[in-house]
Amino acid sequence: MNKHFFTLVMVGSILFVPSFAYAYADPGSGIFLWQLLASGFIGLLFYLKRIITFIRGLFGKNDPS
Amino acid sequence: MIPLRHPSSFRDPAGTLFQIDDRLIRTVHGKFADQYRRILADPWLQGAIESGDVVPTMEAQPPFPDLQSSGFCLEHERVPFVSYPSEWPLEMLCAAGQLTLDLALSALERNIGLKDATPLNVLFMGPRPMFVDLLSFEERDPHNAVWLAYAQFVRTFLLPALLDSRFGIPCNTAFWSKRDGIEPEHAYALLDPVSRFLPPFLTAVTIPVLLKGKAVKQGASVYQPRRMSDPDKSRFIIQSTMKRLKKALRKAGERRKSEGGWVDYCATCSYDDATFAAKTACVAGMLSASEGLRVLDVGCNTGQFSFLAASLGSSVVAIDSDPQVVGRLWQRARDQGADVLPLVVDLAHPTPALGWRNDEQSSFLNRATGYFDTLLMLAVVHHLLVTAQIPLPEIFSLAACLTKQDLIIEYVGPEDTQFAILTRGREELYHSYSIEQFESELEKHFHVLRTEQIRDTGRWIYHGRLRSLEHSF
Repeated sequence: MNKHFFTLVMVGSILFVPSFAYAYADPGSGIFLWQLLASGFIGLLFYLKRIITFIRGLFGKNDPS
Repeated sequence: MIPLRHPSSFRDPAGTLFQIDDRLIRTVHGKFADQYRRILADPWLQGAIESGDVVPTMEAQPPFPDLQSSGFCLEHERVPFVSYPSEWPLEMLCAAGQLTLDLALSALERNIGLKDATPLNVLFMGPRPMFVDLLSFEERDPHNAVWLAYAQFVRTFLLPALLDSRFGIPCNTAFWSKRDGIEPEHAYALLDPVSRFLPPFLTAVTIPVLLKGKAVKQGASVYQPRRMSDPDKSRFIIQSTMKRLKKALRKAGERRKSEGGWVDYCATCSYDDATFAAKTACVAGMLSASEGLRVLDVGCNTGQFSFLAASLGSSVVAIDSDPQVVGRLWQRARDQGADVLPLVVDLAHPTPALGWRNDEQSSFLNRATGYFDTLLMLAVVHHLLVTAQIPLPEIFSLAACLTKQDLIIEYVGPEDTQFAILTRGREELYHSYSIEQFESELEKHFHVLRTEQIRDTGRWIYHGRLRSLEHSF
């Protein structure tokens, strides 16, 4: 039962993943790959930003004024 | 009343643009109808329409039954004078790019994406850029971390701007030969080994060139969707990408290379202040008498007379062959809010028809013929005559096609110092050129309402009215 449920979820999520069928601008090749690599790095910055916001929040709470 | 498919509207699977008499109707195809109804109703888009950043658009009744079956229809307000990136100076290309990114960023907050990013999505209302291709927006998957139109933006905005500001290659000419912008490989070939590895070219050109082979090897799999589990993260990535592009485009828009020539015309030309004031007063009188709603200023230079016409209530299109001059004029028009649309056009070598079947972007002469009420040709005939070597009868024949009513034109004779600078030893070719010859050719197409000499300069300004209303080009 669990195995069938899992398969169903996997198949369902693949079906619902949006495709690029309607995009028609040329995404490039080298530019596209650079964009992916840069995005990976920016993704890390996202977590870093969250951590900094969290720490600021802590200091904000501890601030007596 | 026959619907004509707009000759450039065939790439977007979401819809098609039609011209029906004077109206611009866009059909949105069946399965996209609900999505675009939602986008059109979104307060963000309505706000952008109200502020003038996006073309006024509303849902329209399909004027033909066939158009009904395809989904639903939008009607766009028409932009008075269409222009293309093949005619824009660096400053206008960058303004169009900044508008595109600003709209993309604000749309992102509403989970609306921009699926293509080319200057052809933007037209100018006077000096003001306005986004016109509504179907470029689409509802996006909030988990998608990739902006597919990024490469097109780099090719069509950033790289042409960089080559212009750093190497003096006018960005408008890139669009004469490249349909979809400059590929990084072409820019790479122009760079010296040091520039290649320094910003901005390192990230805009060199790295993409080095990665190209790897991307091609990976094939279609490299374009698999990149979905993040956290939609905030996806939005952050795309937002950062767009903000970085905004900054890069702003820097790319700062000119480094001076092209020289006619940049500070008024400082170097033969007019002293008093003479220039006299010319201005004369032209002002003629413009007032002309009452033309639409004025074309050929060889506009600093735009003195374009602004004069605009201040008298006309909509002006101002053309000059020098992109730097046009760029500066655009900045002034934008700052003053003057109804002047400056374009980089050499009347002797005007923008050609471009695109598929030479039909997607119409030529400058095609758009200009039958559009303007008043044509200004001040201190430009001698350039056409000598530099471009166009015969005088041809010049007047074209002038008669470019105006529906009036012509205000300046005669500069062979004895004038500016004329002599242009001939460069070829004076013999123009020994018979005289004011009598000028008047004779002028009178073939226009009857002269008024003429006045500018003080004692030997230069004369004529105000002519078209003799016949029928002119075929």
